[in-house]
Amino acid sequence: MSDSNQIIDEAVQSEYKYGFYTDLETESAPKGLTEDTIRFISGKKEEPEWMLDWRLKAFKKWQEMIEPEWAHVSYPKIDFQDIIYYSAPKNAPKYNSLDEVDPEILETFKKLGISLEEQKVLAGVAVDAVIDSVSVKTTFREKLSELGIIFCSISEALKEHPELVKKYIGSVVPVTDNYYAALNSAVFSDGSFVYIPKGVRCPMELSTYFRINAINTGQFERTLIIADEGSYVSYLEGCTAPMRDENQLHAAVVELVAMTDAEIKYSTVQNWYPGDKEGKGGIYNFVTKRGICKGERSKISWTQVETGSAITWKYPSVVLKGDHSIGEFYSVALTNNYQQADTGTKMIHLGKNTRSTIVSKGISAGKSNNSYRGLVKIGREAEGARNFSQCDSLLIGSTCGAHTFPYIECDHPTGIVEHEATTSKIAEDQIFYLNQRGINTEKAVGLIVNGYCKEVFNQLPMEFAVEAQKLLSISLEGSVG
Amino acid sequence: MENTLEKTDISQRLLGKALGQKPALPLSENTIEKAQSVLKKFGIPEVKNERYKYANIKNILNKTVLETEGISARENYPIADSLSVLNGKNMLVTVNGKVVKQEISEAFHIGTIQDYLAYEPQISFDEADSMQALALLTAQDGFHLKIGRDTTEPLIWLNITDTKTPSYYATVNCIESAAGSAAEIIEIRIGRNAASFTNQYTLVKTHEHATLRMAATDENLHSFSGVFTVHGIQKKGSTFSHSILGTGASFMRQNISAEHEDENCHTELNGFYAVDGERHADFQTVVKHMFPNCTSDEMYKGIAAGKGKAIFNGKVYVARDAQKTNAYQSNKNILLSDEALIRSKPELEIYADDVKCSHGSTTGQTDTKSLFYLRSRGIREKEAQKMLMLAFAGDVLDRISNESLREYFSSVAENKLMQLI
Repeated sequence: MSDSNQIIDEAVQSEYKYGFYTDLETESAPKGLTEDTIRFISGKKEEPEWMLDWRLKAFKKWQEMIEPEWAHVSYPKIDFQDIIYYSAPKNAPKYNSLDEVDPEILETFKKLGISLEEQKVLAGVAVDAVIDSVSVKTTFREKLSELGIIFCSISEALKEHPELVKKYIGSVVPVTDNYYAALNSAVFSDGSFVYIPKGVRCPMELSTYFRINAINTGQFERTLIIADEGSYVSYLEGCTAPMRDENQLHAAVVELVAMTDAEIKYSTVQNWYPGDKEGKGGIYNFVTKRGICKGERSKISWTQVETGSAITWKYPSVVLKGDHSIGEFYSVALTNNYQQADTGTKMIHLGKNTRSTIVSKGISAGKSNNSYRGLVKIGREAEGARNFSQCDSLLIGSTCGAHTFPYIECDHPTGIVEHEATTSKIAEDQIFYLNQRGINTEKAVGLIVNGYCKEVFNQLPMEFAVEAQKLLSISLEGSVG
Repeated sequence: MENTLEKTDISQRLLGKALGQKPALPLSENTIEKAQSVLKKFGIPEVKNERYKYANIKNILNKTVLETEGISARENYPIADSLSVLNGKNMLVTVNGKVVKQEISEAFHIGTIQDYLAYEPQISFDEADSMQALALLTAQDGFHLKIGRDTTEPLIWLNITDTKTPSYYATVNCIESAAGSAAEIIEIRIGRNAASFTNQYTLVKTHEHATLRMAATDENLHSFSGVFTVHGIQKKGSTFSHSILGTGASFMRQNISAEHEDENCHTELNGFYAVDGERHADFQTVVKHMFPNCTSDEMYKGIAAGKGKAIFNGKVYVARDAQKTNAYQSNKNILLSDEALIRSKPELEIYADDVKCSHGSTTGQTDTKSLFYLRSRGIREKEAQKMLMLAFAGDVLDRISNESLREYFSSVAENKLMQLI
């Protein structure tokens, strides 16, 4: 037992790789949140009048709402007046080529392992990178625009395609949806905008990297992806933040719209700073992600690997409105030290013959708590709807917790809903078997955990799958139970 | 007009009574304070209360109840012949919570809840459930049943609600089974005269190595409503089981919780329910594994037809010290009509690592392939459907060890299923 304790201790001490801080000159809004803050942000972004009105409306609603407390997490109350709502790297509004980008920023991305440079041509990934509040660089825009694909930051989209933004923003996650969505609607600073025209299959993975850099700031990005009839897009998202003692807030909203026969694949590798081994610092990751399968036979697939954040509060959902539409959710959530994760999904079946699959793998280690919370709802009109959910939890060490809160609501007699969940630790006989084959315990655990997560990793695009596997092994390093 | 006015404020009146008047039961100051603060915090449950998300008690009370106190319509109660199938030699009859008749062997001893509380005024309850707090504060009567070692026959408890006008009434009971005892209690809930609302809280203590099997049916509760809570506290090596048949009441909420206070405890919870018309059956179970080497096994199955609502919410809690826990939970539902609905929420909250905990929940229809198979063997559709449904119910009913009880429950379930098909 002492052996494993020692190994767990080692794991606890493994460092957060992305904890550096880049000394960038930034331009910030004053601390605190008032109507003036919102006017300041909107003004900075040179937004149209309707956008400002929309933000102010959201702010009014937010003031009337109360902070939700139902999640299985605990944290001190957030002082929303102690946050800087807008922070942008100075002198970095627009670039035409990489030469113009602040070398400090490029250095940052190099450290993050994101190369905005030529090697990405080989990798074939278009990247939109967001530091603090502003989109720094979007690559491959010309090539994509030849196909009619719009991939830019949401502030640019507001200038260049206001009609599209106006039509879809808030259509999936309404302003009043929840406390943090309302906050985001009021103060969102940037994010990505993607529009795939009819019948176009996006030739490359679209990718965004988010980074919180400045101190005392919150990041409130807003992502909007619209896949028109018969189109396909795969979108990747990655996030990191520097190591700081105080908690920082990240409240994003992601909206996906899939029209008839369209498919959106959304993958996230979330690696915000999780706080130190005493549970000090780290990101509060309170995110609203929702997609709507508007048209018939459309498909939305969420894949997420959650290893970071002090607190995660995230439920990527799919509203299955079109007949024969499909929703998928694949998740690996790993918590260590004092991390808390309350994550899961909602599958709302409204159309006929809609199908959904949920595979959730939770891994808890250290003193962390990991919860799956999900809703499967079969509506009154959802004839022949089908759902299968599986959520497994793995406990590493005896000081962590794993929880499952699935809600199943079935209102149609032809609906079939199946849910199963198991909680256990890595069996000693599995480790013994691998030991016997000459594999040491640490590697054996890595193998077993990777095998346990394989169903989800298989859903990730190649590049991300490798990154996710690496992330998992770093986060788990040595934590043998 | 006057009537509706009175109806709308009944929950308010109840709240006022519970918070403003001295409780009828001799509770300790501490308990009263606790119960009142819980009631103040949560009020009479509405949909915003997560525990009662699908059971709007305030609404039901306001719709169905006129009085805040149950006054019984008659004094004498002949024991129903229809229950003779159970061969009950031990019989306990309560009316609106008050014991009116007892024919019991020496192994059982019945006193009043007042006497019990005078001796032990601290009574534990779930501090997140305001209905339990309300029961303690508003109950007029109840019994304290002690079970000795030498029981041979099950105890049949006729739990009668009988009021002149539709009323709310509360009752608090305590059942204690002595160390090493083994007993069985069959609770038959019966409703007479005006449709009333029962709020019943029963504290069950199983001492070292005792085995207590409880079963309850609301088949004879008809248009009545109620919240029935059983809170089990288990000592070392004890076994507690509870089986419920929910086929009768217009609204029934059954809360069952079991808490292990030592090692080697076993908890078994079973339920079968069938709702049609506008009926509502709601089950909430909590098993708290606090010590190592304990097991629990839950199985709830049900059918919803018409505009019926069937709700299951089960929670398995495993504390940090409760290593080697083995907990299983299963909930299966069949939905028969467009307007019926099923809600299922099986929860796990686990803080120990060397455990085996799993749950499963399914909602669907009778299997068309099985139906086709039976029909291809020349069995009529209705008959085939009945066979499949009975097999569905059988999984739960077969877990009842008492043969005559199993037969009784099966026949009630079968009659009910015939109405549904």
